Amino acid sequence: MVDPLRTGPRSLEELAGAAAMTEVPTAGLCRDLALAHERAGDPAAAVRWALAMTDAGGDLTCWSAAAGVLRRAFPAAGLTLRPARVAVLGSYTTAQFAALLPLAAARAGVAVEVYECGYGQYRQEVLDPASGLHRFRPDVVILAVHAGDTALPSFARDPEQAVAVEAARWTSLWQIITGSLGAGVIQHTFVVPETEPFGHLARQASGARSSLLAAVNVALGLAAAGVGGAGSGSNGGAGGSRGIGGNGGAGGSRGIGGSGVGSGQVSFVDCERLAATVGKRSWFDPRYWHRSKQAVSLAHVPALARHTAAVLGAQLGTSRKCLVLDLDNTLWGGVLGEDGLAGIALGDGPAGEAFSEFQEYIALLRERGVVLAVCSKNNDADARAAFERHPAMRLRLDDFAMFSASWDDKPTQIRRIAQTLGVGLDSLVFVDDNPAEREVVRQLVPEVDVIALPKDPHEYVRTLADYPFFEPGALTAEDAARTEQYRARARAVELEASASSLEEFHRGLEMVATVVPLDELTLPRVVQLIGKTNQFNLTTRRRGAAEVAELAADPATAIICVRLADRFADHGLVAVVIARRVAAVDADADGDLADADGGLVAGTAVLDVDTWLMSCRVIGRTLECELAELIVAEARRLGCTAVRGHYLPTAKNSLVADLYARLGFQRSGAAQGGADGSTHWLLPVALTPERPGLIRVVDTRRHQPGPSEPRPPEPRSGDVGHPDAGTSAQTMQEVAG
Amino acid sequence: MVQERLARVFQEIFSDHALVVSDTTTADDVPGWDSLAHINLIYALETEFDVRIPDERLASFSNVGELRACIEELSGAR
Repeated sequence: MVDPLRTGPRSLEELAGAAAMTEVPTAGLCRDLALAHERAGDPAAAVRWALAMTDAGGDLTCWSAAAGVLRRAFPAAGLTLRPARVAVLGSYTTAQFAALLPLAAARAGVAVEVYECGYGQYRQEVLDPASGLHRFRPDVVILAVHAGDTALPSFARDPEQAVAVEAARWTSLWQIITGSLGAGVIQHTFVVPETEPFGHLARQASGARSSLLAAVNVALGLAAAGVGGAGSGSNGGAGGSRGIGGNGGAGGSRGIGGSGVGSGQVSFVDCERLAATVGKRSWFDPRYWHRSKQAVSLAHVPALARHTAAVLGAQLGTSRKCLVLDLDNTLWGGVLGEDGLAGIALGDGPAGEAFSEFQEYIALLRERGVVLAVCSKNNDADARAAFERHPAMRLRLDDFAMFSASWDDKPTQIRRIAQTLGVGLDSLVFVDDNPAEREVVRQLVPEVDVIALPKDPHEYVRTLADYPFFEPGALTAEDAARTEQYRARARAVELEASASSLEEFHRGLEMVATVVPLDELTLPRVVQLIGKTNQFNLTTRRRGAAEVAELAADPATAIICVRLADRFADHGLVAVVIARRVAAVDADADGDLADADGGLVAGTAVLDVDTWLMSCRVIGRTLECELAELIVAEARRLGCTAVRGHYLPTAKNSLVADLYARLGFQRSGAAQGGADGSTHWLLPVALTPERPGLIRVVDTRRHQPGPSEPRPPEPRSGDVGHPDAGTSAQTMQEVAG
Repeated sequence: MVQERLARVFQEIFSDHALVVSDTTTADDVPGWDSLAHINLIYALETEFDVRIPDERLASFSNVGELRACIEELSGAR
């Protein structure tokens, strides 16, 4: 397709007019503006547009032109960046990469002077103290290498040895670079080729080339983190030395221990992940490998430069540190002030799940050190209440180092956030769904990076993840407290792998069922479940919101709504029971209570389970046993002597045909059964259903009818195993430090 | 049409809006047209015109006219 803008050079006014018509001008337009400003003698604006081009996703040609503008205009642009001398050592043609690196680095806050070693010369240059590399005295050395440059055999009879030898080929280079050159290392990871002669068998053939390459990546990672030492001794790591062939693990790190490289001196650009993200067949183009030894397709060299620059910035300390978040339509769907707490989309439904996932991603950023702040136009009290009261809120108030909700304009709020946290505006990244807010921030606080969220919340996580300049530096003392978390997580994964029984696995999930009240927040989801649940649904009675609300208002009705969370996920509201206290004689209408050994006495009452359903995503987790217990507790609370249940068969609910029998209920009125196949069941409240005890039950309703332990409400699953609750004060110190 | 788009690609690759190429232009006529620029140029042309120039033709272009003819042939445009 022909870009309509590509009609030759246009005037600055014309270009500026075109740019003003779109929020984020295309890469081509940014490039043209950079060139036009350069011609017009405004180097600062020229550089600004050249840098803007890098965020607009231009192709190699576009990047090359913008890199040219930067080279010529930078000296007069008056930009203060952190200077660095960077050597590019490549195993393939890195000329394009090296040419784009200054532009990418400038975007990351670093002014680089680049030295590019001769093609295929990098080992000699590192080893020879008289080489151009040594004379250049680099601050950072980029090892831009590809899988084809490893010396791995096509198949290794001793994979562990082969991996150790290969890893040592690289760590020995690191030693010289960090030692005698005194420079940091940025190593590109090896992209495991997508062509595999062993096919799927390679996964269990640890000597196959793709397995070896993956293992080398792992071994290098461990060596860089300074944990490559006694690989075989510790229980941690990937345990590569155990099992058949020591497949792909840290086993290879044995022998490269004592790499002599301190933590933080070696960083990676995970090309394996970048390649997988765009598709390996796009990342590598064999035609250009054969033509001119491009190991990275020219289409992706800009992205490689960008990510390498982000890691460079992290190593030199220019990464951004604070994420400033809007609330309405950013952290949840809808507008709190208009839709109310019950009206916002969060947790349930497709959009609600998308926003939950976005919160989850942000929570993980926060856990690994990104500082969070809220910047919202809202009533402060309302906005805070949303975090305290909404059951699906993943982020909590204390996740935020600063919570700014007011009717001040956002540039004012943002300046205040930076001031309060004691960070520079150039540490902030602003995220907002509203183009107008983004634009005013770009205009008035240009130091702040602005991420333009797409319209579709399903794309939020990817949009944020694609922003590379939150790249953390090395995992250092700052993260020491988090080490235990990583260990706990590692133990959990180990547990999952080793769980010998389903029960053991379930126990390891640390499931928490939370009984929540039926209120304006939960009603929509309850009605949704009533309307669509087919499999685990004993009676399949569909009811609308008004009818459910009316039932709930009746003091003789018990409604039980349960959320389930485990260590890995919050499943949301997944179970609903509606039961009514009825006179025993009424309950006998379609059965024969005298048959049942329920000890029913005329004039007493039973709790009739009108509706019992559970979402299919939690079937098989023993939640039904906990619900039976809760139902019995409700029966006791309402002064009933028994619980009465019904199974009304449909085409889809055979799953629960024997549910009541499994729970210890007695069949009632066995004789009739009903021509429709329905069955009826009784359980005296004197009997307590058996509970496997795999789920912890927390009741957050006002009255506490059940057997639930008197614990405080569990706000969210993510707490389990994460002792680092974090405080704002702590976070601020981290930023200041 | 092809000629215009081709000229535009040349201007971008060599970062020169004033660059004019004709059918008789050769590599010697354009400052900076070295082997690296040539690869970038071929890549940019293949992308712009969505064509794959066969290896055996790569070395045979003696001037811009032959390159243009090749692209027109491959893209079926003129």
